Amino acid sequence: MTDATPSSLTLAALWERPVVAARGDETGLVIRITATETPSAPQNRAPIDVAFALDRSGSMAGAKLELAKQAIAAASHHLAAGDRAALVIFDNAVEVRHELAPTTAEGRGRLRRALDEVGPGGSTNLSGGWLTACQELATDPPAGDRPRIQRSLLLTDGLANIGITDPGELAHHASQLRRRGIATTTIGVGEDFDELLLSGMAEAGGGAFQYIAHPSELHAFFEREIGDLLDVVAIRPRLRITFPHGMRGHLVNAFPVERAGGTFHVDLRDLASGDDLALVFDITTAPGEERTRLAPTVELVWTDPAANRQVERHLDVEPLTRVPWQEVRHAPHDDDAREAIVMERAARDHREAIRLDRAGRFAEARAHFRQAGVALSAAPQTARVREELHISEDLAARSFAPLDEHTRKQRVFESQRRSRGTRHRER
Amino acid sequence: MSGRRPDPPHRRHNDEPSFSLDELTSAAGVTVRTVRYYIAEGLLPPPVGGGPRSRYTRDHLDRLRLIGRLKDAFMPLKEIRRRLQSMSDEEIRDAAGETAADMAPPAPLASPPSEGATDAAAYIGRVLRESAPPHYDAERLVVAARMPPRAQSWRRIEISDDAELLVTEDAWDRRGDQIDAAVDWLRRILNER
Repeated sequence: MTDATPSSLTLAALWERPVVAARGDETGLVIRITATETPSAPQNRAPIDVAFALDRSGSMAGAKLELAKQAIAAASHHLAAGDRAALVIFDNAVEVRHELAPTTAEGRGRLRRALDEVGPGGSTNLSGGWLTACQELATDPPAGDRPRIQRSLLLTDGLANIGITDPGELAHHASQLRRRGIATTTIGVGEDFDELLLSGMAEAGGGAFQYIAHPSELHAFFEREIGDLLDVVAIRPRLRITFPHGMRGHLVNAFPVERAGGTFHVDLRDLASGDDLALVFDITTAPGEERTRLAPTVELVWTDPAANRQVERHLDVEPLTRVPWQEVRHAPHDDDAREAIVMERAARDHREAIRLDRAGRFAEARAHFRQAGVALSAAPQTARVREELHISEDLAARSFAPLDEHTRKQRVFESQRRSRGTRHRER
Repeated sequence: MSGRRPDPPHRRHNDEPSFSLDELTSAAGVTVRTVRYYIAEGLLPPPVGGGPRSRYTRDHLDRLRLIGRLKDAFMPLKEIRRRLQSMSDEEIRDAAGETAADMAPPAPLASPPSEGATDAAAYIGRVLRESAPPHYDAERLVVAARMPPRAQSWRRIEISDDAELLVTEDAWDRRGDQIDAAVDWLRRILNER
């Protein structure tokens, strides 16, 4: 079930089991997308436009702001003369401190000087700062015909309290900008920001959400983030999956989905070399004749920066067979698929639990952690599953009171990171 | 349009494209909140049908585009409403200045849609204008922020607990004495009580 044509991404489909009960059944499907291990040669990589939106509200004063400035300056040194960077700072006002300009040695020097001058200010116009950073990326249309990577990096430590403050509205704008080529990564520092707002923006905006518990982690994060951008091998991948009559699917992962009838479009994030992503679909099948077969059609489209063109791949998915229900019990299970499915469902339960916890619905939140634990305990006990089971059981057993901020943020960060794919970095 | 209120859209031809709220807001580059606000203010007719299944017509899109243009020309909403009420659907369509091709509902998406940087700039410009908090003129701020780099360095001078003065480094260098005098004067006035 693997597409063998050489390309920067490889696709494979795995069923939880090859059969379903003819009287109607539920199962899981995993679509695994793996990016090539080798990054593009430096001369073939996509040029990067990056705009930093830096919160300099009063609460950022001290180590947070200083270390963020140093981290941005250090990370910009990995960019080359063909890349460009901009710096926007915001408190209650928004200021473009460094317009989008090529990151030549001179350009990086100017960026560093602009950073040096940033001091702490007032409250937090998060939307204004972020949108102005996106505007820096947008006002100057990329020159030449090479696809560019356009990424805004929003760093904040607090709650949006001026401008657009509604998480749903911000996520909507992030998804609209993603469609127009600009991705958004969000970085929350400390314990006072809204993890659901920032993770929602990143999810819709095709970027990543990063929780920084201590400002000393900022340096490593920016190095990694810029490194990932340098190694992007697939820009704006989009999966299309169409389910046949008699089969329904529902994406478990944290990616935006557009649905038209039985066809789903899933907007993935840009994938860097070594990225590995397991998309999990909950599948239900309607009752039908025994021995009939059901399979979705799957296609993936992305822009390959090295080849400078759009690539489309079709994946042949082995059909599921409808069998008498007694046979289902003896059907072989695919352990890799089961692990991916149960982990992804647990991640979804955790995200939902945190949302409920924030809403003060503690009993329901604990029930979601418990549900994740029950599902995990029935799966093959790999190290990853055991670790997640331990965390779920621990959180399910907590008293009916709000979880501490660190736990909330760490859970949202971990579950989204896993859901949106991880990278083998030990290179 | 002859009456004071727009015709209910369900009386319109069925062969015209219709949009969901999401499609309408994407096509017009406005937020959901804006659409609801315009409906409440009588600038837009209500949707066809109710609840999550409600649909919007080409008429809605024409009106939204025209409103956007008039707002860009700094026309107050009251005046925009008056003008819309005096126009027929055809006139609104002409004024919105769109071709039939732009009116088709979003095409099935076989490949990642890329609407380009210019489109992103227009989208962001509109969102910034609509979300601007009181006394925050996004247009002017962005213009101010785009001034030459020398003028971008500002010095903050505290006047009192609740007031500050911002001057450019350039002005600080060139007009230090006058600024000092102004600061003294402001401090005296603002700290009086």
